[in-house]
Amino acid sequence: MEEQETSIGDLHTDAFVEILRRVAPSARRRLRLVCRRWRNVINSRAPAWRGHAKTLAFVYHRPGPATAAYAIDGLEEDDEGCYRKLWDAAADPSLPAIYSRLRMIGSCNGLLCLYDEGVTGDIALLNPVTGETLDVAGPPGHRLRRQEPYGHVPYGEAFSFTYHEATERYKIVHLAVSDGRLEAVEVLTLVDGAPSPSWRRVAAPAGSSCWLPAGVVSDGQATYWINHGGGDRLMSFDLTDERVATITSLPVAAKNLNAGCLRKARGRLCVGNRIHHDYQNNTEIDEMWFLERDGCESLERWYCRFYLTTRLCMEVQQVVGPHFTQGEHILAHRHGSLYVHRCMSSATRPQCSVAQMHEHWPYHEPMFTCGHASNIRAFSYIETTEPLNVYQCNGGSKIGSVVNNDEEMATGKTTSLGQMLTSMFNDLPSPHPKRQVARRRKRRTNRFK
Amino acid sequence: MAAAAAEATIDGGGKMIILISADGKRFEVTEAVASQSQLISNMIEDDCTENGVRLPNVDGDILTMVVDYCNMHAGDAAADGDTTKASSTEELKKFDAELVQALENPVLFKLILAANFLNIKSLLDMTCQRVADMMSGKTPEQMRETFSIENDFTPEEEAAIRQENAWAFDD
Repeated sequence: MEEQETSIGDLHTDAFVEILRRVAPSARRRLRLVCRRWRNVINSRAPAWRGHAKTLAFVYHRPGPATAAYAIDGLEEDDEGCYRKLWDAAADPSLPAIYSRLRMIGSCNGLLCLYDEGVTGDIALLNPVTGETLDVAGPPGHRLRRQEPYGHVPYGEAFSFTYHEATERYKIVHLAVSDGRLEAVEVLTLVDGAPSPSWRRVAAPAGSSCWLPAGVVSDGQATYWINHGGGDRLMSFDLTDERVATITSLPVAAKNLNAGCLRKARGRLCVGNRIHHDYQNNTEIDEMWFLERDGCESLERWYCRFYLTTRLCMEVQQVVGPHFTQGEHILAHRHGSLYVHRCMSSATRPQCSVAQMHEHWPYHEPMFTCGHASNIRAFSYIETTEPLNVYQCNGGSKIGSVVNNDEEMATGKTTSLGQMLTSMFNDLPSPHPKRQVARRRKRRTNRFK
Repeated sequence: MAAAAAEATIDGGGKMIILISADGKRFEVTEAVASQSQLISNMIEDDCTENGVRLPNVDGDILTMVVDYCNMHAGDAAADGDTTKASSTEELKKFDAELVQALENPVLFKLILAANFLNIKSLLDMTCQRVADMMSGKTPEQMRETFSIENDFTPEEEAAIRQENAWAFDD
């Protein structure tokens, strides 16, 4: 018989789809890069995600601990976009207390990582599409370290949730900061099918510090923060060799770090650089510098990708964090209001997307408003079927816990954070076909008449 | 054949069925073994296995492996409540793991094709999982190497996919 070697290309599409279904969506997106057939089959039969990326906006009302959450959608169809309120604990005091305690740590591949700011300090992962949850105990003793000099930084913001590209594993990173001093970095790695993972504590080198208000952001390779007490050094915790290191490649031109300067967009670390150089036009400029890294060779390249201008005569908006882009739009906030700006290409800055935040000066209608003193954080969200049940340890108890919490679970007294999350976010994956959502009124540009 | 069938009935395995591979090799298996294939199980129900089942898509050497696999797993359903079950399940798992690990790519794909055609769910599960595992942790270039695939993208197409990935997973 003639021996033509059978290859993966000889599989019928049905059989090939059987294989693809066994690959997690997070890995499937990379398979699209192999060849045309793979791309086409994945797109049509086993899409890595559904629909467009949305933004989840978390609002922390001040004063008072209440939160609100919004899903922002549809910006790729028209500039108005639309949003849907998931809840607002300030407007609806009858909501259970968890609605006020919940903090978002981060989002990754359609998974949300949330933190209970209450007594327990529990963490849970949720996939709103599948409704799967995974309870994770916080790092041991982390609740005892509460003497932050900046009380306004919610405790959950010392955490970061990311997908480590090299090992294809999810990691939750916690910076153990005390009075600005970085004591240790604690990491929990999710390993499928393995016995319950535990937090790994990596002591920080002597003299390490962290300025939490600047933000804690991770890309697929490392977790980043800014050091405390001058110098504005960009620090990193490499997720491959689990080591604290200074990122020295930040260009001098990008060192006017603005408040809360660390952001994330398009899967990359982004540093906000504020310059006030255009005095003639009274303009303030935010440059957003992206870090491109090639893990293996430690190649680091910085490039300015967004160039955002604001007139100083108007109230200066700040891009939201940690995520601030949605498609070709950037999201900014000011006094508890969320604004959407469209980015343009520019002949003078061909490598940049340019947005004029004063585009609708003197009056720009916000997408929504939640009270003057509220703080808004934004996270990217995509609908996937990324699994969580593969990480569940026997008995379905919390993972990452050092104390045996079987008794606690057995008595059934406590409702786990994960159990509560499913109902909170069941509105998030919008049913298809798209249902009616709050449409923003036509944006007005009221010139003074 | 009649004698063989009679013998098998004494065994408790039921009727014997002849499977005929693409290259004309004949395999005699019990109905219980053959029914693990949904395709053959349907044919048995429809009473059209009298003259042997021709499998024009499956080579003799692949069918040998499929029959081995089915023979090993025929006990699955039958051995319920058996005291030796725990150990035999372990053994079976080991057998499966060794089988699937040792396969060369072309054989693995032929086995998937056969499992898909014969509709043997557990075998399809196992072999597809093996390929899925091979896909994990590889760059697109490494994947092309592993599966001998040519990159037929234009640089523009490739850039477009990368951008799509980055935008969708803006995280």
